[in-house]
Amino acid sequence: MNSHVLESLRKTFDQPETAIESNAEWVVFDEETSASSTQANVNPIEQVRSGPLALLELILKNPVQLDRLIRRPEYQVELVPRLLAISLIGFTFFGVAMSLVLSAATVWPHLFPIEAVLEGKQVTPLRFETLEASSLVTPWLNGNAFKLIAAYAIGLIAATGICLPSLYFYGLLSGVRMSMMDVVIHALKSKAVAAVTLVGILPIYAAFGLAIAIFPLPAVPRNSVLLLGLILPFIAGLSGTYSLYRGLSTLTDTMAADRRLDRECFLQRLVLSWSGVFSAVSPVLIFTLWQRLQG
Amino acid sequence: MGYGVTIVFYLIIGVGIAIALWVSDETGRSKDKIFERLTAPFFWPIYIPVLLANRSTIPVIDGKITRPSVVDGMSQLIGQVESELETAFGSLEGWAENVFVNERNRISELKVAWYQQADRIRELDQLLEVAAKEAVPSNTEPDTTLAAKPADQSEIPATENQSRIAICEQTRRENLAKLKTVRNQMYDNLMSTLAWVRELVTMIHLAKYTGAPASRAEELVRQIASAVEGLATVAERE
Repeated sequence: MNSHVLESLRKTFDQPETAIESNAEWVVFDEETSASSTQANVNPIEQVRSGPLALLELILKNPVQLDRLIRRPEYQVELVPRLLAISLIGFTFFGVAMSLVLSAATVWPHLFPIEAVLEGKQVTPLRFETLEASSLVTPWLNGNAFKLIAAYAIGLIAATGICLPSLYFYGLLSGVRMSMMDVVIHALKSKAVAAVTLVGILPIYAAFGLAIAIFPLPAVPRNSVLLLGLILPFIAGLSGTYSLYRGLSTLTDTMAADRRLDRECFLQRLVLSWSGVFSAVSPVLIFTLWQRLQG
Repeated sequence: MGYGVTIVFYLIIGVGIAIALWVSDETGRSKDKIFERLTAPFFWPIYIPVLLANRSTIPVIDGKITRPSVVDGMSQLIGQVESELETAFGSLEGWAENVFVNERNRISELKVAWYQQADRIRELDQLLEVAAKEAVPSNTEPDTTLAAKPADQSEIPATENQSRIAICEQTRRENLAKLKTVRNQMYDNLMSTLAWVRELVTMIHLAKYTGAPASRAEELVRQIASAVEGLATVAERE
C-alpha cells in the first residue's frame, strides 16, 4: 500500500471543485450525467434474467454491452445455454421457413452420398426433385421437413463445437489471453448473432420463395433461388463472424500496449481463418447429417 | 467404426456430461437448467468448459477452497469488504468495466490473500492459546525427587539445572511474545488493507457520481489490486 498515493487520492475528493477545474477530463455534473449513471448502474445480467427476450434485445440493440457482459466470468456459465437457445430457435425458424418454401414450390432436394459423387455415379451431390401430387403438409407428414430442420439446427451448432479447439489455439497464437470458456462464449455469441440475422433476413427471402410458388419459373432460376435459400445461414453467418471479431478484439486489452497494434491485425486474420475453417466444416456436417437422415 | 456406432458413443458421452452437469449444479435453479440438461447430450463439446468452469465465486487457490469454515469477526469483515468490492465493480458497468476485467486476476489473488492471512492469524491464535495453557509457572518449586536420585545421575547441581530451566523458560516466553507481536502485526496489516480497500471503494462510488473520467476508476481499481502486493510483502518480511 502506497500511503502518499492514497493521500493524493483523498485530496482529490476533498477538493472536488478545484479538481474539476484543474482536470479537463472531468465531466460537468448535470442531470443527464446522473441519468446515464443510474442507467449504467442497472446490472445487465439482471436485465437478461428478466425475460427470455432480454438477451435477444441486447444482441440487437447493444452489442457492445453484450461483449462486455460475456467477458464477466461469473455470468458466462449462465449465458452459455441462453445463447445456445437463441441459436437453436433461430436455426429452427429457418428450417421451418425453408421447408415451407420448398413445399410451396413442390420441390424437395434429394441428397446423394459424397462417395457417389466422387466415384462419378452422380454429377452433383444435390438435386431438386419435383414432388408429384404434393401439398404443403406432405414434407411434414413424411418427416422430410423435420430432417431438414434437424440437419441445419444440429449441424450449425455441432460445427461450432468441432471448430472450438482451433479458435482457442488461434487466440493463443495471436497473444490474446482467454480461457476455453471465453472461446465457447464468444463462439456461441457469434452463432446467436448469426441466428438472429438469419431470422431477420428470412422475410426478404420468403418474398422470393413466394414468387417461386406463384409464378411458374424455369428450373434453373427456380433452383438458384432455392439454393440461395439453402446457403442463407452462411450469408447470415457473416454478421456472426463480424461479431466474433469485435468480441475477440476487446480481448486485446489483455496484451501489452506496445504489442497491441501488430497483434490486432494478426487477430483479424486469424478470425477470418477460423471463419474459413467453420465455413468448410459446417456445410459438410449439415450435408452429411441431412443425407444420413434421408437414408 | 460405422456412422451408427459413432452416434451411439457420442450420445453416451453426452448423457454422461448431462448427468455431470446435473450433479455439479449448486445453484438449485433446476427450472433454468432443464434446457441445459436436454441439450447437453447433443451439444456436449460446448458444455465441457461449463462443467470445468468454477461454478462458485469462492476464491480457490491450488484447487483448494480458501474461504474459512470458521465464522469470526475477521471472516465477517472480509465478507463485508468482498461484497462492497463486488458492488463497486458492478457499478463500473458502462463506465470503466474494462479496468476490472484487466485487474480481475489480481483482485481474485487479493481476496485469496485475505483469507490466507486470516487463516494464519487463526493458526497463531490457536498456537498462542495452547502455549498459554501449557506454560510452566515461573515460581515452580525445585523437584525434590532430584535429591533422592543416585549420585551419578545428579552430577549437575540442582541450582544449575534450575537456572537452565529458567533460561529456557525465559527464552520460550520471549519467543511467544515475538510470535504474539508477529500475530498482531499480521492482524493490523490485514485490518489496514481492508480499511484501505473500503476507502478506495467509496472513492470509486464518489468518482462515478461526481462524473469523473474512467481514468480515475482505473487508478482506483489499480490501487485496490496493488493491495495484494502489500500483503505479499508483509508476509515475506514476517
